Amino acid sequence: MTPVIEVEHLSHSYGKRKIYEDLNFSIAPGKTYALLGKNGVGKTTLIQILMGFLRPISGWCRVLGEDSYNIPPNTRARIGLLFEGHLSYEFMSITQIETFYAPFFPNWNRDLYYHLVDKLRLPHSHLIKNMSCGQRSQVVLGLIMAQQPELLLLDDYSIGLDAGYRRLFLDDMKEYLKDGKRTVFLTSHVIQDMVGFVDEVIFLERGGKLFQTSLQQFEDSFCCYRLKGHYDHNTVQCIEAINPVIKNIEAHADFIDLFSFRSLDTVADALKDIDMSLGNIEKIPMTLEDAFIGYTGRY
Amino acid sequence: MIRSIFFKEFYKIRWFMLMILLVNLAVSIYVMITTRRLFILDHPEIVWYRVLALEQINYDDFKYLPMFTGIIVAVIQYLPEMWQQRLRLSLHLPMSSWKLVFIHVLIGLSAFSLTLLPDAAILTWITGKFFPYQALFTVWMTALPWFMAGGVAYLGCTLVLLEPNLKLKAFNMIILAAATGLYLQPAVPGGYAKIIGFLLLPLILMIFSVLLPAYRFRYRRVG
Repeated sequence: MTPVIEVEHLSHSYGKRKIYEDLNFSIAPGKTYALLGKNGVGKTTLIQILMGFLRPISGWCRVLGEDSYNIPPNTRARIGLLFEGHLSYEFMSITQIETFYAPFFPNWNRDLYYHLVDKLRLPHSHLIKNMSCGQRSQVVLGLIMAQQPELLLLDDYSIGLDAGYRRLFLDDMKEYLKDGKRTVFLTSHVIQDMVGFVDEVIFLERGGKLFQTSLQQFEDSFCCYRLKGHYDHNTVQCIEAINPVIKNIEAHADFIDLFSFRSLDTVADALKDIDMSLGNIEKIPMTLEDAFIGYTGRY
Repeated sequence: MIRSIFFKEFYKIRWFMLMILLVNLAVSIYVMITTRRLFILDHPEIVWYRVLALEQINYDDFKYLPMFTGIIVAVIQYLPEMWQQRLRLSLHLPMSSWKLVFIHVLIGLSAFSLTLLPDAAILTWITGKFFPYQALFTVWMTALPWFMAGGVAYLGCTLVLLEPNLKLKAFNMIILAAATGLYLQPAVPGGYAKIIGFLLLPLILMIFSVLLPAYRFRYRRVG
């Protein structure tokens, strides 16, 4: 199966500041992928490169088989873009913006657009600039869906949306994607939204370190183990040395949380190997957001 | 698809264009009134002598109007596109980027030209009404470089607004000032007549030059 997105040996920097070097991953068709990472690791840079608005320093980035910075018009018709902030031409009304986009896309589904925007219960002459963030997001989503793209690139779809509009956005997206014919590649800072929506997660860390796995696999295998008690800085440093068994450590006043893909026994054995006489270690349940913070760190 | 882009630009700039048109119309009417006033306050042969022999210009209020009109048209057309880089919305459309940029420029130049129509029409009418027909050629050879300055100002301002790099943006401002200044040098009425054809060249070259900042806006890196 030909990947929808292929990234090979991708490197990019802004002046002397290296964002990533030798980044490699691919996206299979028919699934929903989330690119997750802390602020400043290069998620938006990668999305800009995929969208074709930034040419990388070196490496290859192919979208639907074409170089991302040289996608021909007929391939661009198969890609739906959501720009951060739900960017749109705000001087137009609900009707005008649909009339503007429709002639460009041969598979344009006008009914689907109005099915979504009519949920807002606004007159079709309502200008987009007079809408709230959430209302605007619904219009932009309607435009993307009406286009009937094979690939949807959503850059931080959740920004500015309250819980209600985020839920509406996700519900409409899930309904739209249920035939399994479309691929989604998104970024978001609302980690909990990924549950029940996303198939695969790609963690991007500073410097370009990348980890790709299914969301289910990540949730099942990434664990938090808590050591109760007060531990000094030297102890924490000793524990950090047993990488890669421990992915991350969070030291608190009365306990330390150890995050790992290994089992409790393996972690306990690793601690014994460094002669750590530590208190009881127990596995702590985590939400996906806890796991994300555990994986990437708080700062 | 071209029709869609036309309507998009129309919805974006229509009210501003109406205001610009009204301002141009107001200046044209002012020139008409001041020209008529010349003939009220003095004998016609004295006015003719001053204008045709002494080369005084009764319509110099028009001189910088096309330049300011061109700059304002470019600003109202491209500033909304540069706000949060909204031009990306159009650049992603399934249409070649150079074609898209040229259509935008063509629409802008057409809108600019439309606002100058009252200026051109009223200038022609008052010259024909108050002066001999031979004066029409001189008036047109005097005013045409000013109108071209407006076109160059529009294209130069477009170069400035589309350019994402600040240093190159500043450089493009110098190009805007220099290119526009070429058409607005002090000259006797009709002084540009012999080189009017050559003055088309910078105007045409600047239409194509807009592609480079648009390309840099698209990819953020050339080469």
